[in-house]
Amino acid sequence: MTAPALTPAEELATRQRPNSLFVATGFAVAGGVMLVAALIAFYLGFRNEISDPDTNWVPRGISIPNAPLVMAVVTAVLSMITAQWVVYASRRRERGHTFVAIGITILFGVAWINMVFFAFNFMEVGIGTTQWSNLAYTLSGMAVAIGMVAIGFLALMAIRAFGGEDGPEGTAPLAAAVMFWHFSVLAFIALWYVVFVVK
Amino acid sequence: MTEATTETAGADSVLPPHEHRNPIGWLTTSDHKRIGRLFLVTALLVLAGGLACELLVRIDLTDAEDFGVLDADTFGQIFVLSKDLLVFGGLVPLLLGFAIYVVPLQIGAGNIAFPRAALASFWGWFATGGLLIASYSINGGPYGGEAEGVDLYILALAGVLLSLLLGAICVAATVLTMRSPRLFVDDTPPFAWSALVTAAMLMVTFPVALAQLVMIYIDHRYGRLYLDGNYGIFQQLEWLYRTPQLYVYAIPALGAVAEVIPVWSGTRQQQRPVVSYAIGAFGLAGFGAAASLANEPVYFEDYQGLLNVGLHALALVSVVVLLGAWGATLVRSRRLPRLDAALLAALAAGFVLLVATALAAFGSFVDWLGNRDVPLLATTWTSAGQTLVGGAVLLAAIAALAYWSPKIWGRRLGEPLSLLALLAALAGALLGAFGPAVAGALQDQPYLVFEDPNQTSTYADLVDDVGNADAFSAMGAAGLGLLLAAVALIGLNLVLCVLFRVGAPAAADPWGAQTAEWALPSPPAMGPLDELPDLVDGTPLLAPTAAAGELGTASPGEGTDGDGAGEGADEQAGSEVPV
Repeated sequence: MTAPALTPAEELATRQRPNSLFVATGFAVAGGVMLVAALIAFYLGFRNEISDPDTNWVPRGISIPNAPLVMAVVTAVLSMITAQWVVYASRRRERGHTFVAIGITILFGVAWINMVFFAFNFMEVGIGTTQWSNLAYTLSGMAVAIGMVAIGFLALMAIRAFGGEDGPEGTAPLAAAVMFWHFSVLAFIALWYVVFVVK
Repeated sequence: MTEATTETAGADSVLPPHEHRNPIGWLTTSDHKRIGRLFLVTALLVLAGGLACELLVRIDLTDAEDFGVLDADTFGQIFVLSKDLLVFGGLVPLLLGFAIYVVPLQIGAGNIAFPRAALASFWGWFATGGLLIASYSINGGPYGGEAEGVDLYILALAGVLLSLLLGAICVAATVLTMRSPRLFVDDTPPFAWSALVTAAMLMVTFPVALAQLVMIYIDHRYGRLYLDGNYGIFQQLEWLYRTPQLYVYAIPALGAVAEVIPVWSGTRQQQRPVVSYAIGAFGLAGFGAAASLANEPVYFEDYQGLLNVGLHALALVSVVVLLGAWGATLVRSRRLPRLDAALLAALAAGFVLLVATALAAFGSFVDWLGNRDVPLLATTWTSAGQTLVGGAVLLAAIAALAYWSPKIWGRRLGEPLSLLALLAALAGALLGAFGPAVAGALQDQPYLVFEDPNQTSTYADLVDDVGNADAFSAMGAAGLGLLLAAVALIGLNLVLCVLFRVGAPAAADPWGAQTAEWALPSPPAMGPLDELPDLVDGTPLLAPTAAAGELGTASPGEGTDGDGAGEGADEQAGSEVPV
């Protein structure tokens, strides 16, 4: 039997079938959003249980280094731009630009993670000393962990791209990694705002 | 309809180069059918272990004045272990196994998306599940006395959840990106649709549990400042094991029932879109993560209680709608369907789930009113709901095994043993829920035994002064015993069918089924399909007469086994689907 001809709607559906890795990454990002949202909710919930949290929540004597943390946020935001540059260049098969953009993006990622480590060293807050310190380590640690996964994912997809996958059809894996990168930065900003600005 | 389905080789054909028949092949396979079988068999074994642990707990509750079989600390550990094994070791992986095996075949995909990730999902679940059990052996787990064991438990449970999430993502990506080019998502078979809904709901609920596990781990390892140490673990996570979250684990069960009933009716599912929407709504109702963010006892009252009522009511309405659609399908067939184990188990699963959702909705509504001293959902009323949902999933699994066993193992399961398992599961679910429900409603028998460390030795005080609590607990224990017997009967049936090859080999389509997997040999050859079918409908094998709702379709199971069997069913499908 001969297959009936495609209707316009069927043709559209066939053309728009997304890449498996991109969809799977979308699911992972959805899960990550719930993870971050839950962490923030728990943090604020515990903070809410404290009487006069504005003065009693963060232990006295702890000085939060706002300058490096704001720099970390700015660096992370910049990395979103360079990450998008990766996709832009890859779609146009500009391999040189693609790998330069990947390199800069990963460098920015390492930089903002390094600044978070620096901030915790500067604060000299010990884990296990107060409820706030445990939660701050938990939320910041999760942001750093998500950032490391994003770096690893982008590096892995860069290797694939190095093997020749690019162009309008071959960019999906890199685009998936960049989507996760955007999520990791937004997650970091949300967690930074809750832990170090709202406190 | 399909243009072509070209898989002609059976299970004994030449293996693909990267597949091996030896045990190494099971470690390295990238064939979704093997991965699905791994999940199915292992999950059944773990399910039996979980039911045995739960039975121990229920037996202990029959003697309220003393911890009869188990001491106080061990009781708490076994209490949680049984829930872990039943939910994350048994029910979820069992249904995931069906999904990994069946869904790619149903939607015309050559394999599952990311087959190595799916394999990693199984072995990750297997390894971390083993670590979880091992953590109890060194006195860990919630209520455990060994700090390292408790930490190991937390990490292992996180690993189990991540592994199951990975498998769910593979199934969801398969449905969304690898189905036949002209097959729309809303035309996919109901089981594939239910697998997609399950994956989506797991993706928005399990991460909340992971966030809690990270917090618990940090707090438990460093200072134990605000989560009550090992006594706070289960309190934080117990929403994972109760309704509405339990409904998420039951979504594929609805999909399996929705596959069986139209086949036995010999006609197209009536109100097909309604069925899809109802399964989706049932999944939305399982948004237990919303409830987890509220602290008890506020959980049951105020706006959070109202949310709880809304979610439970949505689940109840969804199940009522589904039962209505399935009833309409059975009526539409205009003939009495054969009362095989698959159909009976599917109907029983629907009925038990109706009771479960009604019971949970009533409990949440009563608690929202706030007239009781002890919230109903803080009593063994919750245990009753758990038993009913678990029983419904088990019944659906019996239906699914009876229905898909020809496709998975190449043979039909023995009908008498399947019927016995069905009866044991149905009786076990109802009996196992009735006792705890009455004990909870009338005698306030507590669900959570250990609210805080000071209560470890006072459970007897909580229940020994109320009448007949022991007797109702004994009924619950008897029900659990029957559920365990049902799993044992399923296992025996599988051993006879798979290992001892009792019964004749099944035909490609012994049921006169409707979905694409039945156009392939039973079982399909290992490895990806050589040529993919071009599906435009989720029910390509549905005969035109049946699709139009007319009489004349073959009755399931008529003359279907052995060589040349099943031809009637194949003829029903018409010549459009060469097998």
